[in-house]
Amino acid sequence: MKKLLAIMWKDVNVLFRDGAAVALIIAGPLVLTIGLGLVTGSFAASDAPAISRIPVLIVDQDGGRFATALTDLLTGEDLADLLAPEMWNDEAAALERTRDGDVAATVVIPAGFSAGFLPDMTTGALPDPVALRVYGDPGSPIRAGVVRSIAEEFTNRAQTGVTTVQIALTSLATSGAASPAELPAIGRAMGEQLFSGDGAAAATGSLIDLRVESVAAGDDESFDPLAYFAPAMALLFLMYAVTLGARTLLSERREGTLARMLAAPVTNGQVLGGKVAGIFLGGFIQMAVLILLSTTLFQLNWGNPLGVLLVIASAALAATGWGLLIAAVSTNSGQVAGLGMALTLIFGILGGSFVPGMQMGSLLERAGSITPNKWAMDGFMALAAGDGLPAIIVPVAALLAMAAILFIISAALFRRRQSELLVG
Amino acid sequence: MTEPILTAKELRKRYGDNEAVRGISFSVLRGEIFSLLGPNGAGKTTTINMLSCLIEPTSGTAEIAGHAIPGDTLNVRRAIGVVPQEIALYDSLSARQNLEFWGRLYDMGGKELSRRVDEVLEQVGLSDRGKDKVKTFSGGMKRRINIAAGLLHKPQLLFMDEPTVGIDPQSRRRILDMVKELRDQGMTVLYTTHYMEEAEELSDRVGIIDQGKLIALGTQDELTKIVGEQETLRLHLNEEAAAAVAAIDGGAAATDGRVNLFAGSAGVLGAAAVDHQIVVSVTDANAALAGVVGRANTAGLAIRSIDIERPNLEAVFLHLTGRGLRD
Ligand SMILES: Nc1ncnc2c1ncn2[C@@H]1O[C@H](COP(=O)(O)OP(=O)(O)OP(=O)(O)O)[C@@H](O)[C@H]1O
Ligand SMILES: [Mg+2]
Repeated sequence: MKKLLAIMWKDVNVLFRDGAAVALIIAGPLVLTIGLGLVTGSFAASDAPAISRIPVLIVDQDGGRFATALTDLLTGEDLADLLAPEMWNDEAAALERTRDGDVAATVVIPAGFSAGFLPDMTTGALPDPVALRVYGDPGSPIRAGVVRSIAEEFTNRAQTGVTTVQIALTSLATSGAASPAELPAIGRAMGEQLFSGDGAAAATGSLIDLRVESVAAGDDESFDPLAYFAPAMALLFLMYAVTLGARTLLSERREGTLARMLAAPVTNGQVLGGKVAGIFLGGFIQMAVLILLSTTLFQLNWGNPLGVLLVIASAALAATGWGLLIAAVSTNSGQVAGLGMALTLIFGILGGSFVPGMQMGSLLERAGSITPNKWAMDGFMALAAGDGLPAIIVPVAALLAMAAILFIISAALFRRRQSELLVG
Repeated sequence: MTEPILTAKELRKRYGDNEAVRGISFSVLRGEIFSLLGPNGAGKTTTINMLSCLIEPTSGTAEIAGHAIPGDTLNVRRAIGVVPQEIALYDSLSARQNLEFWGRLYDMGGKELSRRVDEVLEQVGLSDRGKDKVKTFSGGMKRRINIAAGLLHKPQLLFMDEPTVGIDPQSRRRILDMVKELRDQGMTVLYTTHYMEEAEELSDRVGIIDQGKLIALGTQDELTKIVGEQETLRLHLNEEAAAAVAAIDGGAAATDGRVNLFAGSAGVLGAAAVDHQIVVSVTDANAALAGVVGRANTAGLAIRSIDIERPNLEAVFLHLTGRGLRD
């Protein structure tokens, strides 16, 4: 058991020490939640007159392509209802006005900001990023938060969105995911809307367009988008996190670390058990962190804490099952990554992670039942509505059953490949 | 020193049609450095993998520290330490985190583990880099951590599979010195290499392995006696030797590297092309030198320099197989 735990902790360690992975699975869902939530006017309830035409000062010390793109975005049509921007040259004066509460926030684009996105022509390496500086008026934290989230999202989009998601979408398109023919097409269309753009200006804009459309379709009065999107995005990225873990099942074989583990006095069961536990725990921690963070950031009430824990744990288990299945049918870690991203997006769509109450016809809705996303959302929504533990019996049972079935299938598949899996 | 810690009997491993190891038997004595010397693809790693219970032998058995293979694999693994040929570490973890993880798999923990990690870091000369991520290390440093991970639990028997491949001369020197230190501290080492110099420097005994078979085994003196009082002329060329010879022989050179150019020249026993060198076995170097150089000149081979070597393991390999050991 000790060795199993050692392997599990090692895997969790490896996952959370990978800066890019953490940015994607923790910052990603938060940023998307804010992005999806803010344009729906979720803040309007508390802060109604203030949320439109937020006064903001922009100090552009860079003047490069990405700086221009950002200023265009902040001063452009898309955000005209939300922001009342003004360009300033003097940073100190702008800060003073912010501190005095004359404006909600100041966005400083430091020199070198644009250059930070451009890889070195010869090595392809990215220079150290130069961060935006956003100063908020302490007197209006929400409005300052909106500005900050737009700025952060812009940066985030430009950095990871372009590279990671474009690649992922390509794999989705090319991996030949063995699913109904229309699903990849939906995934691609959805992904393109969400993640489109060649890096800069299009990023936030397209996101806002999408939101306006989709919320118009499925809006209702008591609907709080943040309360919906926080768990939805967390679950979307939970699927992604477990596939990151599942990838290591195959990459450890290639790197020889699997062989090295097996050359130590450990059993195959301990190694596999440790890996599976590591994938599960990685997903569990990710969900827990996201829920804690969104509780403090968005003042969300998730409901009965024990219930929330149960839903997280069973969702992470079910997701782990899917991760294992993907690893069991893949021959290399690249395949796991491709299939994993495809599954993440497809499950996100089928499980309603992007669009609440989406009408997709009963067939697709029923297809949603194979996703951990759908059941876990049912659980989270029930808890958030104030229901007690009995309300989550069905979703939790469904998730656990899903996990059990997937574990059994994967175990059978792994057993058949065992000799080949252990050492090359 | 006379009691074997490892005995392998008729080990075989077949992959489909390819028999990687074809019946290998040898023992390693307690406290010695035993080298398996052989060219690429000879079956060294396959043999080590069978002995570390990573793959099952197709047939044959072995015994390590009293535990049987196949059979008592858990106890065998407890007795051995393994330094794999490919660096097997987690890049995103620090050196210390890597070592602590590998130590835990050997039932270590707490203060004892932490102390051992300090010790092995010291032993491989990387005490000051423990906190750094392995991905920031040079190839040679990674190799040293790769070795350190195999030493943590003070194994009775350490397998080192080509631990110096692809690293700079200083790191290599360090590793060779370390292996000797380990032996001096009482560890038994099974070392594989395709570098003749390493086998010569380190080994108490050497097994020469080629095409899945052990073709010679003994101390270096015993092995060099196989070739008798034979000496070696090593001709360094400016070009690939096999190609150069092929050009002379009108493209008729044997693909296995045998060179016929010097056949019949006084005192010449055999010759083979290896990389940029032609290795010529002769009965007496001084007597044969003129004849060999004469033939080479007539044939138009551009010789850059010539080494004269006393009987060595490469000569043994050449004698037994007609081929040179490839770098
Ligand atoms: N998993 C495998 N499947 C099929 N053939 C294999 C496998 N592993 C090794 N072989 C074959 O077995 C033979 C011996 O390989 P092995 O790796 O043991 O050689 P080696 O002496 O370690 O060589 P090197 O110096 O290159 O490491 C080679 O012909 C190799 O192609
Ligand atoms: Mg090898």
